[in-house]
Amino acid sequence: MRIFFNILLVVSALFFPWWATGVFMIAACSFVPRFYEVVIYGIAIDALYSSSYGFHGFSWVWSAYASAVLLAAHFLRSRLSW
Amino acid sequence: MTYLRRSNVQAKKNRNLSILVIMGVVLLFAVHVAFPNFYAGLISPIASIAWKSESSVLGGFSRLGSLVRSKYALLIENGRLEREIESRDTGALLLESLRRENEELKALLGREHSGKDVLGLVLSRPPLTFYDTLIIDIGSSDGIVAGDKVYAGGTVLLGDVSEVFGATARVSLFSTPGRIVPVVFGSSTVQAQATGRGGGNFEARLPVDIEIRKGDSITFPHIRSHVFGIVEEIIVDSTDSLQTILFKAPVNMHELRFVEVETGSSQR
Repeated sequence: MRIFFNILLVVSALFFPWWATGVFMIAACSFVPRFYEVVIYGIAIDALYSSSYGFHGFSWVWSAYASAVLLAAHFLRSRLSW
Repeated sequence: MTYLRRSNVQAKKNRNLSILVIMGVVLLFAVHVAFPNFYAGLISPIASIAWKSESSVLGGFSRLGSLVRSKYALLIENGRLEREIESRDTGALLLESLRRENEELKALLGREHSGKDVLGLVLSRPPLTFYDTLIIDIGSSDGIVAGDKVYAGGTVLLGDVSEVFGATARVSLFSTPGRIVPVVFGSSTVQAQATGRGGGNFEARLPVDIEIRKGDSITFPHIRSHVFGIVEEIIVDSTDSLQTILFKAPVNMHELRFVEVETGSSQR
């Protein structure tokens, strides 16, 4: 599962629309425990696509989003069982 | 009764691993903050190989698709395109003569643009990129520098080069959300600040007394003849002394395949 999501996120970051990558990040963090790699993907996407103008001046959207998803998933997983 | 205590060795191991990973992530962030182009320089060459192979694969599929289309459909499309070309010919001739006259006048006054255009293949475009940026397959080896202006079809000004790597460059579109650019409305000298809204869309605020019509062209204060945007919508509120002008670039950013980079335009 972990390898599958890693491959999916690499392919998604390069070829899929940004919103698909966002959804895959949530799925990866939900299904794989401690999916820390998601932060690396966030940083990589920012490094690859972001410019100095960023998004309304903020150039770290994907790093912040990936970190938030990871933390949220970790928080929810510790309180839910499936 | 004796109970065995649960071993906490595994929990300790997990906690140590988590701390290690978090430290690693923080280190990655720190490198990214300190050297913003470090990761981009590492990843871009690898990503460009993937994008180039994707472009050739998709190009092959589209050619395959055109082979299997029926002859009748092609005949109909051919007829439609011929009629469209005829209707546009007259206007294009006039436009071309005006453009030439404009260039000649600028040359006469010593203001011709001396840079050359370098054609670039768009490797990545919105909506793939969240930040309204383009990745193109030309870089410093082609004489591109940061700040060079980027056009679509040679006339539509899209943005400027923000980062240059060896064989690729990143183009920041003027429509990047939140980016403020100076624009000139129509043939008038009314200048205003426009704010990017993403995907080639812009918003500007002007006093209500300035007459702006739908379809008016908008330019960027730059010596080269170009089109920047076309007015799409004008919102006037009776309680507001300012009107909101919504305009967009006359090209679809999602369908861009090639762009031209005007070398040397960063100095002007």
